[in-house]
Amino acid sequence: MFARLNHIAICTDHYAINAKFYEALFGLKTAKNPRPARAVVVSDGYVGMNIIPRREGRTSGLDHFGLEVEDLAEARSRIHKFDPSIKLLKRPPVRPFAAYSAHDPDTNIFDLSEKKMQKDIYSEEREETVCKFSHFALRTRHAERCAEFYTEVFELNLINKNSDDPNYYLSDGRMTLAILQWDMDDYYGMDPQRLGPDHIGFKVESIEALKENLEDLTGQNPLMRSRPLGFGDEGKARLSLFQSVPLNSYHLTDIEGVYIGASEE
Amino acid sequence: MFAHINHMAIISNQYPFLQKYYQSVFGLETSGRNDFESASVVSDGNLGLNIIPRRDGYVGGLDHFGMVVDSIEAVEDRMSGAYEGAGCVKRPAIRPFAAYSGHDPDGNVFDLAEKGSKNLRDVYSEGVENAANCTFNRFAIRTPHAERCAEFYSEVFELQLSNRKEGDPNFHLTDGTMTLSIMPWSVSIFAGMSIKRPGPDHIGFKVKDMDAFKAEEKRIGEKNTFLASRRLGGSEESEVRRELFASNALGSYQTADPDGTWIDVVQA
Repeated sequence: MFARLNHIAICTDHYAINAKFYEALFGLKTAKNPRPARAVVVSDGYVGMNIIPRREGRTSGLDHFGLEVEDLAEARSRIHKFDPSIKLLKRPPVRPFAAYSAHDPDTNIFDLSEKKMQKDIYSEEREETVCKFSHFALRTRHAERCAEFYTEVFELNLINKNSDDPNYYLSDGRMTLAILQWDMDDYYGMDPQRLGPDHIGFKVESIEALKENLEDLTGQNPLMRSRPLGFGDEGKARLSLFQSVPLNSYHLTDIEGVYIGASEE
Repeated sequence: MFAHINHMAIISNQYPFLQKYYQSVFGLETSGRNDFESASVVSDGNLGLNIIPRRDGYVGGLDHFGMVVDSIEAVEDRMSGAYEGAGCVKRPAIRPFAAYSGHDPDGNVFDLAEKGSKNLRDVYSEGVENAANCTFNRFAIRTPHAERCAEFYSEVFELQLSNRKEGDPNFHLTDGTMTLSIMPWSVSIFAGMSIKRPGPDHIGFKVKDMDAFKAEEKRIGEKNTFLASRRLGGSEESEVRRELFASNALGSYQTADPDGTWIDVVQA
């Protein structure tokens, strides 16, 4: 494949404990040479997830994803050809993943890198964990146009979907980028959610085992609790929208409320 | 004015605590009928700030603003067809402020209520006095099509465009008291730092005595470090962020609440 989705970033008010949650529940591994003041990076051996302390002026939550491409110059050229108004920005060299940051036609932000440019967890040979990242979902206003962008520029492959499903699913052969259609009418019974990243997904061996592990984890360490979902009218409305994405069979959150979908291998 | 901005919302993992910060540092008042199961609300007497517990799936931080209008029907008529991509949806009746939620052509979300409507409750229907002489004066959004969005708020809500200083790329619209600043978003403005997604950027306050305000902010933060404002600057990247904020601020002093939401302070 020309591109692979192998980087996810979350900004969080509690970055250290949130990283422990992903390590404990999903068995993700941290970098061999961590930089604890900047962020915690956890990995399933294919995708690295940066858990970044929320900085001033910023929001907390699922923040962006990153693509590793075979040829950065070619990727830049294709972006320009698709839409000359889209700009790329070179990043400071301190970043372990990103050489450039860019955005799609709806200003959803992603990082771009070439394999040889990556550092830390992104350049280490790592064993794959049992639980694996399966998808990154974003909710955006012009889903079809954005799906065209990722298909044409990064050669991600469109996956078949039901004819009444308004969303688009693109694959790099392993990870899926889900482009969900944002519609104000979906938010009648709840506060409108801002455009942008929506949830992450994991493949697990057994949903039942994941549920048992989550219960055991919360019993061992009450700070590592997932948020209760589906309570009250608004909670039901939020969960219903989350459940409308057909990639997940079990729905949970991390300790700060970032949506996590899980499905069995 | 046809519309006035009387509502802002922050989503926070520590919402009651943030309420204490705005009460103590800015002297804002709470509603006499606080709903302890829902958001914490503070007010300067003109504008209410809802500090909402972060719910599953939402991002934390400055979230949206709201307006009271003479006629929602007129808003719908003005929006209809004229602004591709803009829209609004009716909200459940339990909201203390919003009858409708809408969004501008770039998808920036706002709440809407009609003057005198039953949705206006709590601090939105009470006369709340502000003893500390700090008042909200600004809500700033960074968005890709700033000029188009400025036209939208000007034509649909009759907010008045203010004169800009030479070289100022931002658009400032006023309802007579509050300023809505629409600032252009481009990935290139984030050189040297992480990219911030388009959306709400910062809020502003007007204070009667800047020196007295700073002294009080310092005293409170030292007395109770949980109520200390976030420090801006320090590392190389945070200096770049601080400079970006300062270059788009209208006030002479910039600070941040304990969650990191940017606050621009101007001397009255």
